[in-house]
Amino acid sequence: MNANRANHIREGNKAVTALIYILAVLIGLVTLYPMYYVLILSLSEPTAAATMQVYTVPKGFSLDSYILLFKDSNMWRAYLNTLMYEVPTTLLMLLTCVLAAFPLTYKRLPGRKLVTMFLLVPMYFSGGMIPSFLLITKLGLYNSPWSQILPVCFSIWNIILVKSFFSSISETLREAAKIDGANVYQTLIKIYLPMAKPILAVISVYTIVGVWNSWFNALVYLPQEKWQPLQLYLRRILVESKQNITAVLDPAAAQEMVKRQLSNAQLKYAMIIFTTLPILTVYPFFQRYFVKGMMLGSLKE
Amino acid sequence: MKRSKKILALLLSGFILSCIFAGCDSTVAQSSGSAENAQESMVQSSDESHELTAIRVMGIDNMSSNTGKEVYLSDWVNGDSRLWQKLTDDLAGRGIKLELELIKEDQYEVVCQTNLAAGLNCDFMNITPLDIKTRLSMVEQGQLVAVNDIWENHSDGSANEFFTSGNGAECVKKLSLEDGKLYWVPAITVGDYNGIRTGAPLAFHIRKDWLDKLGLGLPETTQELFTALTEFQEQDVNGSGEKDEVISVELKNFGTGIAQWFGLGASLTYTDDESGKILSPWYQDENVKGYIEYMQRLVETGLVDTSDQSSQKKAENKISGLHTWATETWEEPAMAVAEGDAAAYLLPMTATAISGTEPSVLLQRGYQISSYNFAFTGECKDLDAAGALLDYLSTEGYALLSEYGIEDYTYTEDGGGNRAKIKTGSDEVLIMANLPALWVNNSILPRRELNNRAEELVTIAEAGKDMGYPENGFQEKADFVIAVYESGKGFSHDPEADLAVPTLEELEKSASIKMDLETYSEELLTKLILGQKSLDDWDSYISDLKRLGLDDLIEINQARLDRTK
Repeated sequence: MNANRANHIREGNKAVTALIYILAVLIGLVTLYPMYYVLILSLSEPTAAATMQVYTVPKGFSLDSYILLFKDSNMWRAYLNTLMYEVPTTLLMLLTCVLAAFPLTYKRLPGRKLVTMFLLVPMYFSGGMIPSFLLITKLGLYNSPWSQILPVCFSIWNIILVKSFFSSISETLREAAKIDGANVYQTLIKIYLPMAKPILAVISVYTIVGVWNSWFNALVYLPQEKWQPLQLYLRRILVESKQNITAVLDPAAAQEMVKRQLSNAQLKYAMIIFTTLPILTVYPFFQRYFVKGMMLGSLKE
Repeated sequence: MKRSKKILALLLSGFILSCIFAGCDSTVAQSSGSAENAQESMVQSSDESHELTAIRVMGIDNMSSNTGKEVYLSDWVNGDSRLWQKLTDDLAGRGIKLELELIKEDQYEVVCQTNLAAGLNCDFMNITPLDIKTRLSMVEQGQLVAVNDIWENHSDGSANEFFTSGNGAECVKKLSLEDGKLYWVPAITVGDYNGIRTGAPLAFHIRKDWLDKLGLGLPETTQELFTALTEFQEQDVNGSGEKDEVISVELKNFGTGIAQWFGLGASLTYTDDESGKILSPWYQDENVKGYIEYMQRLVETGLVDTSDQSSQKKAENKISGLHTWATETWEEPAMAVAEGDAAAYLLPMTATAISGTEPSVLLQRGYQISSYNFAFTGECKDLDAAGALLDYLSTEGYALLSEYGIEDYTYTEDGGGNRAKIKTGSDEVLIMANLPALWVNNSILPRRELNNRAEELVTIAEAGKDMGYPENGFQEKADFVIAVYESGKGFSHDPEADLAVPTLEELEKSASIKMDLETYSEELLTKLILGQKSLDDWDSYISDLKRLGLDDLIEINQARLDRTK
């Protein structure tokens, strides 16, 4: 009786359901509207975009900023660079995760606990930016595109995820494979990998999105523009639009800055849409892997 | 359904890839073309340059969008720029050549810092992003070479003369460290108006086109200005149907143009030229209170833009006044007026604010030491080559090439020595028509500007003729500027540039107090103007400023100023 009185809201209560739907719609609007706003600004007439007199639908219609963007060979170069970093980074990430995780699933592996602890420590504590920079420089990777691939092609968190997944596969399968004459490599390739497609898909998706969005490593390690990725290019356009004209000590330089800011006013919106378009397009196909990835770290019964 | 999704995904991927390769074809064609040009010029120069000493230079890949498209310094270097060829030929004549590492501006600070951590790899670099403390630390570690040593022992005389008795002498006084040596070389601008050494002024500007539309005269007092701004709103001069005509000025500091009418300098501390003392606006009771009360009145009446969206308001034609360079002609095109109307006309002005106080403006010094600085690093082993570069940078030929370009290509010169820039031609001619060469101004080499202010005024006046004022152009703008030049009076636009380099002790002390002090000053001024704080508590504000170290800062800056004399 007391328990019933404490819980007044029953499952399926229409009022609460309606309230939840309303909240969800509001949160959805708040989340989606900024992106929609950038889209309609990028499609509106330049004067409407500069004055930001656009709220729900584009004012006028102009693809000038997209045409300007399409003609920019530096932008396409940055696009190609990002794709160039995506493929090897993802493949190397999968390779390192699988090759590091699989041996750790052998319970009788000598030094297994030591290796696991060795992996866990740097996951919590890192040397910081300067030691990382010195390491990259000493390895000869400064100003090299490999500085965008090698430092990010492994992740201890992903190794642990893969290890957990492999551990969830029954030991009996391994034993059966051994009985049938399979060696370690054949067990990995023919038994574990086919069953690990879900986790590999999750890691691939997270790696692809992470590499797509990354710009900081390029800012630090790639001074030459020809190897810089798309997000750094976008950052450059956004940074230029925010500079304070009156802080410039020279009238001629101030004039140059005004010209650049005016011409970039709508370009940055088109650029934002263009850089997020691939991720937006592929997301529906990989949504379930994002969700699965979030659940993988949770407890299992 | 799954199959159709896969097909759609494949088509999208194919489309994206085809677009990339389409773009890349032109990139490859362009870059291979420029690489061929570069290779040809390298082959040519290698025949002649086997004796040339390379100086590794790191700096910013300067860009201009003056021609409607982005042109970088690297385009000049890798392309067929006559100006760049002339520069390299001049340097080759001195036995040196430049090996460049050009970095984009937004990335340059990070590259400097990371290079400092990992070890510098250049002989001469743009050290502008590095703060004074970092530079002093570099000097201590031997990472910067004393320029004195170069001009005294490795110069053919040009650099020696420039830095001891020429235009460089004043920067030696201001920028030398405690050991009496100069470690970085600034850009130097010497402005001349008919023999008067002067820089460009900044002032509050009012919309003259709106004054004319309403039949109002130019305000001469702050009360008249208030009336004019109110009339703009009351009579809806921009035709928007709302009282949205506002002025755009910074509320957090004293660099508004209006504050100068009340006899206040622009910064937390500034140099009073008459007394040679460092003052703070906060200690000028009558003046600063008068300024704050006036600004409060403007804010309360809704005449000031407090939205921090001045760019948007300019585009919406809502700006009735703003603070900017009095020599500007670039703000007007940013204000969208009705079709068929003449462009906005921003006229600089002063107005009497306090009886007995002459209204003033902000004024660049006639001799300006820019904040763009360059230095020879400890990696530079061939000091004779460094001396050759320094000699070249000290010559009039370099200044002429950087400012005007090549005669009969980018400028013409009459018999009387008057130069006029050519306004039509290739991209680099168009760039040079309005700007100096791309290798100066925070790029790879210091600027040596000899600014003929009289020529500049002609350009300013003429600009208005293309903006809907065919008879007189912007002559009234030019007249205002002439009046300022002839009076020679104004508060320094960059008070920090008046001072000598701080010692390490001064630097540490000011660093410990400046952040909190500046934040408190900015917040206090903003809140007072917006009416969020009351002038009745004035004594407590002054106590807070003293407690935060305003007096100490004044003392430090006074010592720095005294060292320049």
